[in-house]
Amino acid sequence: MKRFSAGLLIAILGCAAQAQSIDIGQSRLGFTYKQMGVPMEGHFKQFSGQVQFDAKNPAATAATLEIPIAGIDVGSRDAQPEVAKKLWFDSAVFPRAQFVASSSRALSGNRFETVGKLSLKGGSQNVTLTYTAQQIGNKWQLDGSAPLKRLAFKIGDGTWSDTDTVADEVLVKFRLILNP
Amino acid sequence: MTPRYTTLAIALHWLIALMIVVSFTVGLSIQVMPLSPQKVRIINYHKWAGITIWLLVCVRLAWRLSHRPPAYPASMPQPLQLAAHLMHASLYVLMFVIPISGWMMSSAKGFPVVWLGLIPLPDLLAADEMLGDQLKAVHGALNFTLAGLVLLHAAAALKHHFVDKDDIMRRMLFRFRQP
Repeated sequence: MKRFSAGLLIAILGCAAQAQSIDIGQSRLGFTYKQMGVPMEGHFKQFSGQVQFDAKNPAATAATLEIPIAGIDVGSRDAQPEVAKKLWFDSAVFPRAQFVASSSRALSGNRFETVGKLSLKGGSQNVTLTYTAQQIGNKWQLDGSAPLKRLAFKIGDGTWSDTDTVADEVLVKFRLILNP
Repeated sequence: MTPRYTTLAIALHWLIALMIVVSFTVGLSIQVMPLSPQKVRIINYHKWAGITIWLLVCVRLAWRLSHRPPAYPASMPQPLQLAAHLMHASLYVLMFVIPISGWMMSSAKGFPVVWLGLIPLPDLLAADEMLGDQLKAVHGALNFTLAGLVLLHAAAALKHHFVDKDDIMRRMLFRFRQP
């Protein structure tokens, strides 16, 4: 069974040979959240993945992203030690987050929408990415965001689930530069 | 008839004094609290109170610059009058600067100040952790200086009232009954 899955995975990746690789150095993945009305900014120091995007054929958009939790910078030295803890990301048990796109379409203007599954801390939720796409030279630049609710993933659980202190809404922001 | 401060000046004096005492105490307790949602809330309330104090101090300063406080009694020696002027000037400076130092510390630590959780205030500095640590030390040192001066100020007022038996402290009390 394992060999079959591995073979299937390789076949899929092989089909996605058209997929562009992400220019990680130029790309950015971050997030904003609020604590008691105060806007905070964090970012992901590492991530990897594959994206297939062509503005002329948005429905064929494919993406998988892997994000190591250890690379999260929550934007505050005092809050940083909390990230790995059980009530937050419990990174010892769940060291990675993963996003897999399932469907995409074009919106009005230069905007696109991709829906996919985000797996984080043992849970899975659909998230919707909205982004613009422009060509810089021969590379695609995708700029957008995805709102999500941290409590749906039990991020900030137990005593930290009080949304008056840390808001439920988190906005993930990204700029992905795709190599041709 | 005791010459006294205006009702506005008296109200501001005691309201600001109360808020400073509470904020100082809360500020001390923040240092020993482990990180928790309660601590996050209390830190934010402390910042809200600090900005409110600063605004009240601005009103107080405006009053002081546009009014002449009641004169000291002629019986009060000149050197003591000078000492009193210096004390009050120092209190005004500290009350104005201390909330600013806290605000600067917050900016340096990467936390914008949002007054009452509603009104975002501009960042006074760019985020810089080391500078944030230094400003925390400055905020603390200024606060302990203020605490020392406040104790002296209160002691002096009580001395005037109970030892000298003059009207100096009465001037800063609400008129409950005719003197």
